[in-house]
Amino acid sequence: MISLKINGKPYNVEEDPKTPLLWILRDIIGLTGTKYGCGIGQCGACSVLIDEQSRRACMLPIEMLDGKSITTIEGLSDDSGLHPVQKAWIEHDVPQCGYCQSGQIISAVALLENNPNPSEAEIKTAMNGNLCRCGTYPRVEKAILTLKNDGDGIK
Amino acid sequence: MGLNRRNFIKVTSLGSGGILVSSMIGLQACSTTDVDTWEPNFFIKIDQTGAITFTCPQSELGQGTSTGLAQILADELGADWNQIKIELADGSSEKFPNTQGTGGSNGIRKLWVPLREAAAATREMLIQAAARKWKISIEDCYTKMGYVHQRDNANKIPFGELLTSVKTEYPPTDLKFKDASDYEYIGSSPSGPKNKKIVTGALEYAIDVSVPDMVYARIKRSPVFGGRVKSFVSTKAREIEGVLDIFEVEPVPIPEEDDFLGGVRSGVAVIADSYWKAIQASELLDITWEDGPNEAKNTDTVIADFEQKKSQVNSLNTRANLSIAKTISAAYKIPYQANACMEPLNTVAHHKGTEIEIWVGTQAPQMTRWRIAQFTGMPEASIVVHNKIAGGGFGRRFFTDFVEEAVILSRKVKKPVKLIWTREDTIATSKYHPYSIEYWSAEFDTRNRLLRFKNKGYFTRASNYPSYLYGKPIAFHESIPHMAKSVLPRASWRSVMAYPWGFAMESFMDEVAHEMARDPLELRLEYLQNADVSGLNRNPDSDYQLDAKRLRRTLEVAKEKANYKGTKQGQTGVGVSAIMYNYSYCSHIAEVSVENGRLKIHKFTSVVDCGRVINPSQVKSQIEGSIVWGLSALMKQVITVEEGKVQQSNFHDYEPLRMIDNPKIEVHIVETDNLPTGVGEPGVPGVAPAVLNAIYNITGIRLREAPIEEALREQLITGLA
Repeated sequence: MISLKINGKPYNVEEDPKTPLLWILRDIIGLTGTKYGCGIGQCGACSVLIDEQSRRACMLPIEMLDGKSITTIEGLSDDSGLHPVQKAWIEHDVPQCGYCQSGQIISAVALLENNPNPSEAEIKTAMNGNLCRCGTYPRVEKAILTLKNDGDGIK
Repeated sequence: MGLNRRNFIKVTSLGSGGILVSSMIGLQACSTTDVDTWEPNFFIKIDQTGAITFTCPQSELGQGTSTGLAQILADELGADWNQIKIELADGSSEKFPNTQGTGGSNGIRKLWVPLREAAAATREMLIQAAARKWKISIEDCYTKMGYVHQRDNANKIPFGELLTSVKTEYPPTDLKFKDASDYEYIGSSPSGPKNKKIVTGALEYAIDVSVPDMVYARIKRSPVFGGRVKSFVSTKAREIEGVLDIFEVEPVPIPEEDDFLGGVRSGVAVIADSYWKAIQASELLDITWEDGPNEAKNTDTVIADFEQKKSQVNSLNTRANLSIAKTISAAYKIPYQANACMEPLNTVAHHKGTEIEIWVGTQAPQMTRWRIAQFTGMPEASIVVHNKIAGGGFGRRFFTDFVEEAVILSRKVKKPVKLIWTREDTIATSKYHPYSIEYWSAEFDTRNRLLRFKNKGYFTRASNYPSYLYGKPIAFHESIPHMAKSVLPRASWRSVMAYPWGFAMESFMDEVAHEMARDPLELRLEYLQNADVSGLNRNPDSDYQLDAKRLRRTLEVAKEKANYKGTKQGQTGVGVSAIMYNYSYCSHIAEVSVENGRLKIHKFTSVVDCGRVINPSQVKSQIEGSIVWGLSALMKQVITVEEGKVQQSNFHDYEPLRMIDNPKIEVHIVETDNLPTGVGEPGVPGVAPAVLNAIYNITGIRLREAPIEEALREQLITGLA
């Protein structure tokens, strides 16, 4: 049995310890905001926050996560409202189909937590692992720029 | 003719096309027995709280059509945007005849009139109910923000309080549409309900659907199109705990002329209690395949086949009265490409014996229902297709193969089945944008003036595509037929036939300009200024007519916004394209440089005219997305075939553009009060030629085949050596 802490709630999981976190989230716990995109860590649709880093849930067997604290897209907002990154995404009308966006948002949150004032180049590098077929890259970049400490903020 | 509610839309909507009948039936179907809601037609449902549900017949794939249409409805009805809910309609030929396929950027264009008719008729009936209550004239009432108001005082009543009385009202005989100056939502960019769900992970795609007793499935399909399972051993696969069943899936052949319908490849299905287990078990299957007629084919076979077909299409006779001094020609090639939507193809299907319920993100909910009825022998009435917001479509979700599979599996296991294609399945055993070659030539007179174009084209369907607005005489050869029994089955692609057409035509226009020693942008402006394109209009009675001057205007604005001063600015190459797609017009100017042997695309300046703009933010985001789509396809994405098998399998070897290579994109809108048209695709066809022309202008290298990344690198190295 493996103990996971997901969005602040403890879960005891009795699945095969080699099972990637993605499928535990989606099919066992029912947190479907984390998406399956490629299964090989190439697209970032399954990004979750672990220790303030954006990690690919499709590549993480749960046996590596015993006792770890995991935040999924569902855990970013709470009763007090949306996370600033989520607000910026709405403000800049970032999503199109939206399928990759929970991963994009998780990676943006991780970037800004580790580097509150990223340059354009740093944003592009940090977000490079998150693919989008609709082509929302310009708005992802714009939204993150306004969230910088010295950015315009969300108006 | 007496007025009664059955005549609702029939009376009020003459001339709006197929939707009339459906809306009329809609009123009949939506009887007055439900006291809590009023459903005057299939688009609109109002409840006692004043909440208005818009049932959207078009599919939402990220292109934003459901939000745009809801804005149109809200304005014509006089609704409060915050009270609008959007639901995608189930597939229904009864309710929405001929209106439910989402492709060709047609959503706004097709529903602009019928949706406003439905909303205006609904508005008038609410006004009548209120006026009767107040004992005043309907002339003294109007609707706004979900209320019927009195004109000369502050009295108002919410729609939700009129539900009982409105049901005894008759529809008006004449409808007036709201004046554009009264629009509150059309022309603005209100945030739709979709975005809040997306950013919190709450939006339910088909892949997220869960129904009681549901099991998960993956099919290991024949890696060669047309191949079959010869035998298989499943001992190891069955050792995975949670595997419930393993069985062979019989192929459903694709009808030769109707390959867009669907078809199922031969394969072996694994049913399990989670998808992860289904994937694991399917990889442990030991399958012996019979590869069939395509076993020895590779990409070169396809190209050779093409060249042979081309030579069968004889060149046109040269008209005697033309004194041709010079001819130039070129061929442009586009490889097989996979749509690779971010949400892998999937369906939840429940075959209940005499009924089938399906949850799927599809561009064709109505055709899906029809096709499943056909192929199961069950009546359409017994089949429900719930359409879900899809994680991208781009043409791939028009096809029903993955739905057919899920139905076959559910019929077999007698439970609801969630079938998901792995990413590998979506790249290696899918349907593809077909390989294509476009042949162009241009004839010049003794004074180096262009006489005419010739085009020998390949079209995915057997019809010419009226994207040519230059007015110069053009001779179309017979199109080269696609090989129906080709090595790979074909799918649609974002901008469909305009994609290979635009790639070639807008590259060739540049070659012509250089041949004439003219600036390519100025030459286009000249041709578009004098072009007579009336002959290209298929339907002279349609409200939508082609207009070369509108395309010209987008190019003029692009020239100004990009500060265009010629094709080469210092170390920067500048390339131009201009394309019409289904009555929307789009010009691009691309700026590129080559540094240390590597191409860098710096900037796109793009201008679109899509008539009246419903939602400017969405219009711009569609053009931005089209550029990213076009660049992905131009730079790296290629599907190749060896011994019948696709050689690519996932995003590592079929890689879309990533953030780091994304250029700056500036989109401008030419606002007109022309009828609104679509924006999902018009930006796509001109992307590749704008970049290719810019590359030529800075390097002198003319690339005519996608993808270009490797070829360009090789040519640059050769050039340096």
